[in-house]
Amino acid sequence: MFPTKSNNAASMIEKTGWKAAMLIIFAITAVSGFLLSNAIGTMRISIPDIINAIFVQKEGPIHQVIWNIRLPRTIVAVLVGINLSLSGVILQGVMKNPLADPHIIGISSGAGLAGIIILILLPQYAYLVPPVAFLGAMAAAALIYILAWRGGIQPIRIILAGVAVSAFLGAGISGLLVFYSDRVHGALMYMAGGLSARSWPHVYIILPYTVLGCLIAAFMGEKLNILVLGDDVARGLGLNVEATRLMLTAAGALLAASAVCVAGLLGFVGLIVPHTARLLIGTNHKVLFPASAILGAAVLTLSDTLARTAFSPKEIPVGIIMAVLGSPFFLYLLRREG
Amino acid sequence: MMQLIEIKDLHVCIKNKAILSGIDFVLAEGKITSIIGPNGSGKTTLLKSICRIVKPSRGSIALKGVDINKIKTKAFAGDVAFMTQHHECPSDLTVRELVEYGRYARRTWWKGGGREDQEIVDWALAKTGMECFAHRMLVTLSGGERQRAWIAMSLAQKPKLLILDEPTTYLDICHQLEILELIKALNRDEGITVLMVIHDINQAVRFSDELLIIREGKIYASGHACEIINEENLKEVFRVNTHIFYDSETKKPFFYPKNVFGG
Repeated sequence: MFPTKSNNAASMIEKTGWKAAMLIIFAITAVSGFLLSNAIGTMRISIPDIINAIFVQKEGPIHQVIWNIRLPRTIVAVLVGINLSLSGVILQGVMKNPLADPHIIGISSGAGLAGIIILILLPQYAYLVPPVAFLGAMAAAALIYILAWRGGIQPIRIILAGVAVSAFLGAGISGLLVFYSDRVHGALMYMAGGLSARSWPHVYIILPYTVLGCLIAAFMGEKLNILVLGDDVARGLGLNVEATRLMLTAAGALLAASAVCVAGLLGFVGLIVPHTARLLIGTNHKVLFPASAILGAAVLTLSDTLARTAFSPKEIPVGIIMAVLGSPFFLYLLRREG
Repeated sequence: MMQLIEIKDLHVCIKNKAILSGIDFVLAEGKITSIIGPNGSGKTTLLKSICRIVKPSRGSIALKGVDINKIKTKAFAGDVAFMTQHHECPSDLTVRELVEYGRYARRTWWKGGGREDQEIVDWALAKTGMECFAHRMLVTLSGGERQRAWIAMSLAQKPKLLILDEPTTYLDICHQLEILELIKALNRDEGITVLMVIHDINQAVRFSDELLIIREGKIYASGHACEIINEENLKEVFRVNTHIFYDSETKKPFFYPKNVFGG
C-alpha cells in the first residue's frame, strides 16, 4: 500500500530533475528574450554584432542603436519583469491568497491616479510621472496597511481594505478620464503599460529596487515558506510573524511601485508569472523566487519585442500583448494541472 | 521537581470578553499534563498564552523562572514547541521539508542546515515512524500520518516542552491511541514535558500524569486523576451524569456517561 523507500528516492530525483530542467528552460528563454529584443527591429542585428556593440565597438550605427535604444529598453524590460514577478510571489505568499498581486495593495490605483493627474491636469510636467506615480503607489499601499491595522495585520483585512481603496482611487481615474476626454490618449497609453522610449534614466530609477528584490529572494525564501504554514505555527517555529509580514509587504510594494513608475500599469506579470512558475516548479519559495524572477524577465523581454515589431512601425502597449498571449497559456496550464 | 512553567494570576481578555481570569498554575518538568474542560472554557487560550500567541491582559508566565516576554523569539522556539489544532500547508510540501522547518530557529542565514541539522531531522522522522513517508507530500497522507508529521516537525525543534492542542481530534480510535502512545513514548524516552488539551476525558486520564480542569476561564481542579475525576466534578463541570469505574491494571478511574445532568 505504501510506496517503498526506493520508489520514494526515485520520485524525489525525478522531481528535483524536473525542477532543474524547468529552471534551465526559464533561463534559456530569458537569455533568448534578451538577445531577440536587441536583435529585432527596423534594423536587424546579428548576435555577434550585439555582443560586439555592447562590449567592444564604441561607435558606428550598430553601437548607436544597441547602446542608446535597444539595450537600455531591454534592461528596463528585464528589471520590470523581475520586480513585478517577485512582488507577486511575495504578496501571494504573505496574503496567502492566489489573487493577491500589486493591485491588491493599491499599487496600481495609487500610481494610476497620481500618474493620470499629472498627464491630464499638468501635462507640462509629464517628466515627473515616474516619481509622482511612485509616491502615489506607496501612499496607497501605506493607506491600505494603516486601514487594515488592528493590533496586527490580518491578510483578509488587507485584501478587503485594498479592494475598497482601489475602487475609491479608481473612481478618481475614471472621473478624470471622463471630464478630460480630449486629453486621454497619453493617459490610456500609461494605463495599458508599455516600455516605449524607455532608456538609461529609467534603468537607474528601477535598478536599486531590483537589487532589493534579489536580496529578498536570496534571504527571505525560508521565512516566507514558514509564514505560509499559518501565523500560530510560524510563531511556534520561532519566526517573528508581524515583523516578517511588514517587511515583506513593504518590499512587495516597493518592487511593484518601482516597476509601475517606469512601465505604467502592467497588471498581468505580477499575477500570472508567479502562478505559472508555481504550477511548473512548486511552491517552495527558495526555488520559486529565482524561477519567477527569471520567468518574469523572459516574459517581459519577449512580449516587448513582439509589441515593438509585430505591427511596426506602430507599437502596441506591451501589457496588451502579455494579456492576449499569456492568459490562454496560463489557462492551458491550469487545465493540465486539474 | 523543577518548575518548567509558572503562571501567576493570568488574565486574558479578547475583544473585552474575559476568557481566562486568575489562573495560577505550575507545570512540573518531565510530566504529561492534560487540560480538560467544556467547549469555550479557555483551554486553547491558555495554551496560546503560554506560547505567546495570545497576550495576557494581566499576570505573568515564566519559563524556567524567566518572564516569557523577555525571551527572544528564536530562543523560545528552542524550548517550547506548539502544535496547533488546525494545519495548513502548500499542496506540494513533503514530510521531510516540513520537518526541516522545525530547525528554523536553530539555523542562521550564513550557516544553513549542517550535518547536525540533518541528523536531528532524521531522528525526528525515526521517532515518529515517518521515515518511509519522508518524501511523500503531506496532502497525500492519512489524518494519523499527517498528525505524526507535524509532531515530527515539533520534535525537530528539540523542545523541552511540547504543547499540543487537541492532537487526536478527527482521528479514529486506533490512530488516536497511536498518537497518544507516541506522545507517551516521547515523554518517557526523551524526557520531553508535555502539556496538551484533549477532549476525551478517559484518554486524558489514561495517558497523563496530571490533569487540569478548566471551567469558565478558571481552574476548577488540578492534580492526579484519582483525586479529581469523580461523579460530582464531572457533573459540575461538564453537566453530565456518569458512572465511575476503576481500571484494575492502572488503578486509574474511567467513566461511562449516563445522560445530561438536569437536561
